[in-house]
Amino acid sequence: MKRFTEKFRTKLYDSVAEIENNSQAEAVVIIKKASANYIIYSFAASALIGFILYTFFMFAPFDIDPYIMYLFTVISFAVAMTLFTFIPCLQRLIIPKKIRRKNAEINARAIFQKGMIYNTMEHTGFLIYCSVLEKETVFMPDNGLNLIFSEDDMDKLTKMFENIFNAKDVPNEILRTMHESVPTFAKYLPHREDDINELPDNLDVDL
Amino acid sequence: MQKHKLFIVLSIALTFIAILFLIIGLPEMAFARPGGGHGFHGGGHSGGYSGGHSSGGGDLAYILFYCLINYPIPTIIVIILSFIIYKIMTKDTDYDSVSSKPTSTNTFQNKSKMTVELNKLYSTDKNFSKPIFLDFASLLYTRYYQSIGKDDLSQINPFFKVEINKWDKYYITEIVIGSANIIEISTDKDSTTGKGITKIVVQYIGNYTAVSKENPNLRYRCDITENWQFIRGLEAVSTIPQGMGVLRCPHCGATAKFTDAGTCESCGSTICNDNDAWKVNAMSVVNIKKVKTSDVISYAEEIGTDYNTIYDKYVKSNELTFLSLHNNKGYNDFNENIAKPYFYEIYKQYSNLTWEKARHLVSERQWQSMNFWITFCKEYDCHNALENVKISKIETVKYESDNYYESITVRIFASCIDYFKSSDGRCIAGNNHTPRYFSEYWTFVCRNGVDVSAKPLNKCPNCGAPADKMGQSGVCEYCGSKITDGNFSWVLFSITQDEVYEG
Repeated sequence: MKRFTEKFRTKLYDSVAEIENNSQAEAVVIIKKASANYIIYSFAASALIGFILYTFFMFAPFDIDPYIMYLFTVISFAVAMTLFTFIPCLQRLIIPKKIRRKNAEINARAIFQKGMIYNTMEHTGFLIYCSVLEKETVFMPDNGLNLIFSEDDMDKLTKMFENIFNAKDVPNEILRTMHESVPTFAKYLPHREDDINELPDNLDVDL
Repeated sequence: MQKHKLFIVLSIALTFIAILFLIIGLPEMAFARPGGGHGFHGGGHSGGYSGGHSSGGGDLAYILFYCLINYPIPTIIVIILSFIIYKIMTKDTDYDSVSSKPTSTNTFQNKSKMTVELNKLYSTDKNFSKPIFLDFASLLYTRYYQSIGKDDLSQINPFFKVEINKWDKYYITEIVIGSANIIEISTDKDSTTGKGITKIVVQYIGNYTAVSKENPNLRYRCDITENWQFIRGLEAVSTIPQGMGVLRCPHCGATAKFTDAGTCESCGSTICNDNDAWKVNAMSVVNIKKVKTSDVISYAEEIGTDYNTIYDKYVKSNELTFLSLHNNKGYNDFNENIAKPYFYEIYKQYSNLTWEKARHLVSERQWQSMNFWITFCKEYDCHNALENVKISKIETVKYESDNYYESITVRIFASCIDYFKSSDGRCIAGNNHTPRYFSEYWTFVCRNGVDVSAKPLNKCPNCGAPADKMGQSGVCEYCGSKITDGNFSWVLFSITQDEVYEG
């Protein structure tokens, strides 16, 4: 999360303001470190590694001190557990893509609901939820947007946001994508003089 | 999904088998393997090993002790790693997050932008006064909620460009505005006429009680945060302010009384289609939640006292204006002779439940707001006791003035014993022994040109008679003057908690 610096957050607020000042859409961006606790996956994978090592010791064609067997089995488990827990790319290896996506979506829906993003007069709120560990972005528009946008443009927009994690520089990609989405929002929901901020600026939902 | 379930179940099963082998089988193997052959003797039964340790059930403590003596470094590593894993497994799963909420830089930029826009407004409308505008906005807000449950909307309709919907099922009472602040000032073009407009967004934080029309026993109280957008023609000029606390016709300044057609009964002007009057153009409820008694009569942890003080960037340069308006007496003099005595007196009267004695020190809205909480607590047979109040520091953070009013905001650092006391003297929430340290931002307002040198706090600031007959409306019964709108002395306009103050 270190890469999402204060400077980035300042620009993120400005990007949201850019969308809101040029259209009637109400944007909220939440970036989370992870969407779920995957310790059970790390545990299972580490146990498997420990067991494989133990099996190797048991049936190795040479003599091994049993206490070495014991220690190395446990150490291999612990090391694997540490690696699978603290190194995100390794963790992603053992968590299936489908599960990662599903957890990100569950979190996005929960934030959408708990943050009352649906609470806009014409249902023009939307949430961009980025889950860093899962490398997943969920673009969650409210019904008003879904109804008014053409299917093509909505697909394009969704794809644009969902590809954020394909870029190397994710923070910049988030800002760039948001900037690129402005004309689409402005096309369907042009700015009106009675447009008023309907969602709290300081939305930060604890689930 | 099914595949993963299988994977997890299989892995856990294998782990258990491995642990079982380690605990039960290892002591046997420990001596069996060196004894020759590496045939695996499953289970815990004895046999196949030559002497030594006799426990067939496994002795984990013995193994750990043995490992610690013979292989200290790997064993310590295992213990440390186990502890780390335990910590990871039991840690709170609410992960760090970053959101699009404003950073301090954004807040500063927004404030600077607002100052520029406010100065533009002052330059086109010399009569514009921020305190007067906020007073108008607050009155309209209260009047709106008083009216929407009733059939008569004629008195507020002229001030609304947005359509007002009546509420059929509920009416609203006990409207309390905790704070009303300008959060945005901008200019735009009217989409229908194409003419320039000035927009001001006011954020209200307050609460009210909604009562069912069919069953008055069915009622609930809500905390509400709302944004209202007011618009007016770009070149419009306000009428000369004639005091606060009254909703007035924007043309003649008389107390607002309108016909059904939206015509002022006093001057005959119609303000419905008038571009020169402030009108509500949009409204939005940002947040609403039901108030629980436990939220009010409780002792929440104090936050924000250690936050850095937020100073207005012009506060130092503005002291020159302050000095010129107050006989060369600066901020320090104000803090010592006004802010400090007001603070002690207001806390004393609030705690002693003699709140009416502070009527002349506090603005209409602030008085009503605090009075509501006293009444609310009384319903639950308790009150908020504030004892041993001590101010440790006062800092001036903001000073603003326009052609009619000046306002000064100070941050007051203080401590007091703060608890909820039941009518029989018991402490039902809070701590009646240990002082609580806190800080608050207090904003005082006063009309320009008034002699505001320290006056006795127990006397009417206009006639000098005892301040014992102020009534609900804040009018001194001795001289008939309304003394809560800052026309005769400083009045406390608002209190903002340090954790929410944004400058």
